Amino acid sequence: MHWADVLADKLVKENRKHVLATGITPSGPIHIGNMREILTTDAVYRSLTDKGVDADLIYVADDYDPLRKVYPYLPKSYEKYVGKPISEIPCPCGDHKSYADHYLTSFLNSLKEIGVKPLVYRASEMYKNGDYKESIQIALENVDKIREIIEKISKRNKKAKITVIHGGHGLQHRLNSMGIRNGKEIKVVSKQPFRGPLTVEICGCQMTLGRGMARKIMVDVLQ
Amino acid sequence: MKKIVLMGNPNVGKSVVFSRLTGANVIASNYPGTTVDFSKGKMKIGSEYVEIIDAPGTYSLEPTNKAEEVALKMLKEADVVINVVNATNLERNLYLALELLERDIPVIIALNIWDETHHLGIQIDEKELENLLGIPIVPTVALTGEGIKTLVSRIKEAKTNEEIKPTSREGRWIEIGSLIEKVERVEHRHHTIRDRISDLTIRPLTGLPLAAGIIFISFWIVRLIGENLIGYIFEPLFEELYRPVITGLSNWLGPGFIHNLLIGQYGVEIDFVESMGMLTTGLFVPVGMVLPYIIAFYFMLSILEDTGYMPRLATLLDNVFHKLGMHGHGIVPLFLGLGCNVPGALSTRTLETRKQRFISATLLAIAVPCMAQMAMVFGILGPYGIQYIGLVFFTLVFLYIVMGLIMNKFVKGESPEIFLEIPAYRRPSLKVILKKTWMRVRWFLKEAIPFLFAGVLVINILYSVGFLQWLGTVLSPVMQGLFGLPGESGVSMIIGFLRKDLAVGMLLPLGMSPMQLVVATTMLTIYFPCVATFAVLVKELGIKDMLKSAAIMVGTAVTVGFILKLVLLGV
Repeated sequence: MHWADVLADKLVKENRKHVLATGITPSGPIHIGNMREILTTDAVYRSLTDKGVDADLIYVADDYDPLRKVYPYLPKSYEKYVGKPISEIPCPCGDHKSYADHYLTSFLNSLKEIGVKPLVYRASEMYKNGDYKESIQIALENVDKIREIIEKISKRNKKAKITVIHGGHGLQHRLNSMGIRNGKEIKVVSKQPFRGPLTVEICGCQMTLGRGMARKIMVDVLQ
Repeated sequence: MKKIVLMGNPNVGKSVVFSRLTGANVIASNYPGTTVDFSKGKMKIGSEYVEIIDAPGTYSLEPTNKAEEVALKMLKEADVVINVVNATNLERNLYLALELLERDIPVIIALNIWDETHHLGIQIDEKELENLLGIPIVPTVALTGEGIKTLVSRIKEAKTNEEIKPTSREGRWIEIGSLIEKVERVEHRHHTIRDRISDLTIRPLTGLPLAAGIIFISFWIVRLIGENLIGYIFEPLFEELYRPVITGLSNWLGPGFIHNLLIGQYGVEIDFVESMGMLTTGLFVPVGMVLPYIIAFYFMLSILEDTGYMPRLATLLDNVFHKLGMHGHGIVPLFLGLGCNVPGALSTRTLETRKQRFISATLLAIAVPCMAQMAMVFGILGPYGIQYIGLVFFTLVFLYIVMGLIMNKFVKGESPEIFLEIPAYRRPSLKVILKKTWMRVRWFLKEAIPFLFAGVLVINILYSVGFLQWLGTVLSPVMQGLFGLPGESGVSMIIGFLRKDLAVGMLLPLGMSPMQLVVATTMLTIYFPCVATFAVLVKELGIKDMLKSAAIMVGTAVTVGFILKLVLLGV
């Protein structure tokens, strides 16, 4: 049996309407990997509708995510947009509404060509309309549970690279002068319970820092 | 005289370099923030004497706590700077180096902890670094003395670098990046047993039980060493060698004020604790009862400090200390304070805000008895059973936590989060440990004996004029009514301002029950610090905050004394 049918059969048993959600952050030129994300979900969706189950396929464009860094294909002038939502950043070619739209449009066109028809939502609009209000509330109230689940599934103790440090000049400088800087590889050595401090390793040197400070250090996990 | 200042990041070995250069001894440990004040020493370079100044460590020339402010002040006086750099962490250390070079002061770099670079697979081309920075760079291993001679011979080559202009923080990091690329190569290295021990002692699941074990064993060893030193060395020494001498002296002197002052009451058998003579109590309390525990305590503390365990303990206990308005580094004033409150009070400087320093200093004064006082408590309560000693310590631990929680709520200001470097573990050298223990013991003797003599002298004079007897009667209603203690114990409270160990000793002749002794010794800890600590606290907190802190101490002492009376004495 096809794996999509296996998954669909499980969902059929629940005997209700299903929403199959997928999405990517349109932060750069689309590639074949972007398709994997939506095609796997689409496969399950098709299997479900074939079985006569009521289901929606939705696609959420995460265009309210921040620009993480100046990617190689961007002009240097984009430095000033790092950390801003990509729906609020000007289009690189000037023909689209925003940076996000520049990359999103070609992706959505490709979907049309291969006959995948999701309901398209834009995160930027949903944030602004307040559609996420309740979910954000729930997420904030359960932040520790969520963190636990993510850590369990993604396996901790991976190395990561620091992308951005939020916070004022004072904090930035303090972190910097102890070696915590953009572009540095960082590894978590230990975490104290009850939101206690983290111990991290950078350049072979370990230091302990409070959760509040740690939360301001944004990283990209290295595979 | 030319002034040479040692500058560098915390825990890079400046104090060890200082000791090597000057021959003067300063305390050095394996954790950031050991040096919180400057030390001065002299050395001869060629035919000229120069002054060497050891400054507290700092990560940059923009201070974030009081100790770093001291470092910056020292820099302003410098004619030459020896920048001590941790070779195992060159990149970060170069930031301060560049900041120093931007100033108009000649700099020489000591590339310290050089031996560790080989173990860590780090290769540094120090010649190339010297070319690029344009100042002399000398690899050193201060702990063994390697490279110190070269460092001294090259101090005169220290110079400024005109090409390094003041720039932004970003600019410096970019410069450092290109320097590192040219001079440093790091090979990949496998997890060693040292890394594994480090991981085990800092992860909560294994680290917390280990911490409990380490603290318990440390105190157990302190008691073991202390008791045995007393039993096998100090008591025989006093009883068998010293007593005949003093008895002879007593007979020769005959009765009179001089006899009372030097030995105590004439015609009764000499009791070293109770007789209150300068040569009996004045010597026996510090040397015969306290010194053995001081030796034992500082021996263990030095081991904990030099291995590098303290910052790990600070990490594990950060949660608790954060609730008390401090952060994990608050463990340092607490531990140092258990030896003597004076260095404990000084070390509050490594905390960042006024609130943290106020809470840490006040808790130190209220709930942390010094080793001298503890030794006396062991001495007088020990014979009645360990449960009485336990009661005193339980009350103090309880107070530390409760008062911390309360002050965290009511003291205004911020208590920022912990941000602390965790140094690599080092195997402590017995020679260094013994030397450090000796330095602290010598310091104790120098501080304690004059105060004890003064205390005994004051007591004798006041007794002979009848003042203390009168005071005892006057205080009697308060002491009796509020705390269920004899009036004379009020006199001991007053003497406690001079020396707490002597004050505890003074309780002995009053014939109190063990429970009364528990109340009295607990109150002696809480109500006020000794004069030496008081002087440091005034300087560290300022008069206004010290007055507030003192009000909290006295208020707490009265409240706790009264509650203990109700609970323990049942009257």
